[in-house]
Amino acid sequence: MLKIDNLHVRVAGKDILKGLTLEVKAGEVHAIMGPNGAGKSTLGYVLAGREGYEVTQGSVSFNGQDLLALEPEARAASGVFLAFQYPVEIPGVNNTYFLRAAYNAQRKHRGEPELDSMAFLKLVREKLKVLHLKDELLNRAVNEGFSGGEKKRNEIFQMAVLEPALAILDETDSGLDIDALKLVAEGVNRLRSPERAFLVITHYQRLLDYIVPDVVHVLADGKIVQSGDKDLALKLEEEGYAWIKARKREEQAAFAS
Amino acid sequence: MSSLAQALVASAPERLADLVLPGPRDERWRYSSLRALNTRTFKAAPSESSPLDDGLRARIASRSPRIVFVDGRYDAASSDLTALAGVVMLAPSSAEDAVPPHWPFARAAAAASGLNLRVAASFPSPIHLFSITTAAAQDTIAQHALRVELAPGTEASIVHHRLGAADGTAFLNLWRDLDLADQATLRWVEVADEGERASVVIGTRALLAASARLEFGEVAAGAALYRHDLDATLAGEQAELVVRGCTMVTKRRHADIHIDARHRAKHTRADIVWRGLADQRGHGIFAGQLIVEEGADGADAALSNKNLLLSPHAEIDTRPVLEIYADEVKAAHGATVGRLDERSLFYLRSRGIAATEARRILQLAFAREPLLQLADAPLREVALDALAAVLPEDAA
Repeated sequence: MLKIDNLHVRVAGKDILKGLTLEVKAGEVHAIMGPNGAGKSTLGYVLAGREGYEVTQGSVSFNGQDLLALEPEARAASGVFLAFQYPVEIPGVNNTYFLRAAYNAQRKHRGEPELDSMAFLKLVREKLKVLHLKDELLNRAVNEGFSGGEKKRNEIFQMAVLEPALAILDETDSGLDIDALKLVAEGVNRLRSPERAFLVITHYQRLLDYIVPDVVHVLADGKIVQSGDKDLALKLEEEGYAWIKARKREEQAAFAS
Repeated sequence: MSSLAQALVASAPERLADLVLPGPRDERWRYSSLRALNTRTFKAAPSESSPLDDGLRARIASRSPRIVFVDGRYDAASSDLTALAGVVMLAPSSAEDAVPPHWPFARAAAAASGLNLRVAASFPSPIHLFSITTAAAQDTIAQHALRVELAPGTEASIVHHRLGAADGTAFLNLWRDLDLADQATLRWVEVADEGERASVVIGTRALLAASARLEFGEVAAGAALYRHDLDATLAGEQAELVVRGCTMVTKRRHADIHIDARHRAKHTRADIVWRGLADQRGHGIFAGQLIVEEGADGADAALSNKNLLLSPHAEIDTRPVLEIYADEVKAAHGATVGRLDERSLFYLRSRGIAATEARRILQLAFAREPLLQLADAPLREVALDALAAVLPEDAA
């Protein structure tokens, strides 16, 4: 589904991703872990198409098409969804209006008929129920005055409504207490399906107790330095990222000699 | 006398012989230059207004009760006063008696044509006031005055619609004198559908007695020249002025809004929120002045003007002013000019909303915010509809 090959990305004149290679197949959940500043959030943004992220080398293909050539809205319509680490507050824009505009824009882009407001309201009510969210969320402005936990749950709610093929969760666990974390994880697990893939970006192993990944990658200094199964996350939790750095030093020493 | 001034005073050239229009050095007219207008030749409006065409007739038909002015003349045939009988009285204008010296346009408008509207008892639904300039009024001065008096304790809502021909080049000069007696409440919304070649100058003066309340809303889409001065005096204790408006100028449109609130009595309150957006080569100006006079203790004065500059060729000028001569005053004022938030734009686009639509959604949200605070539901609807018409879906 997603093939990232030797991706180099520069942000504000600084090289952040330095040859990242990764393949995610439909139905899989991949976790990307790594220390602060490794380039985790950059990966999420560059896949979603944020401006200011310059790809200097490498390629990204998504279901066979060149993802990097698409505008952000076209990426969304083709099935890419980024759950933001810091969801943006948009005063004056009603949550339901926003979601329906997004939902119908994606359908229109794919040549599917748009949903009228009654049918759409029915759809969002069902999704709310599944995620244990209150109806009043629909009438509020997008993320305005939401607590940290509410914002993250609103991201998962949007994901549930838009039903993307590839969901990228950028530190969706940060700032959540354990109850909110469980709710978010439950929301994600309900959406797991053989047709859908997840890229779960996180700093801590904790989230992966609830969203169990098929593959865990360690991202450090702009590259994947190690991949493994879910046990790799546990090892990182025990030994910290210093272990990766030490291992890298050993490798470099071996290479030098 | 310039040709503009000559045409303005044509109805009473002798009485108005001393009329002087603001000159190029007048600081209050710095961003609304009359120079281009002075080089044009204007005609005075004919004494008989031309009948409305079917299109205009259809547009006003659903709005009643209504009071209609066409090319500066009161049009009794197009007006519908049935519902107002016994509640709101119409009389010939007396506005000429009370024009302020700093607003020469008021004298010309009051001398030309006008109406007095006296609200004797509360009227629950909106009264629609139309100032229409027809396609026949090219290069014509259309002007009229209106005095609105509210008896003590009464309430009324007025929507003032200005309709102009799409390609109209008329000069519309309006003078309005609002007089609110003790505990009267007037809600007013100002909307317009005017072409980009029109010129419009409006003076609004409001005098508020004790515990009177004026809630004023406006959607200003601008014109070749658009100037509106709202000058409110809070003359009685606990009088209150609330203003909620927005300016949205595109193409080469210009909109210059001046709002002055004078606190003359104790425990008076002024609360002004105005938002401005300027796109393409649009020019939006906002000057807000809060004056708390000596002895007006306990006054509460607040002014906020936030703006978005949407194009490198657009211009926004904002000047919030606070003058306080009393003790024990609560006052706040602020103005900002910024750009559309890139993070918000990306957030919407990342959900599949196309860039042009995302921009429109964010602009609309920004401009709507003050209008949503208008307390009266029918007036709020009118204002929001007017804003949606200025920001159409296909043109962000």
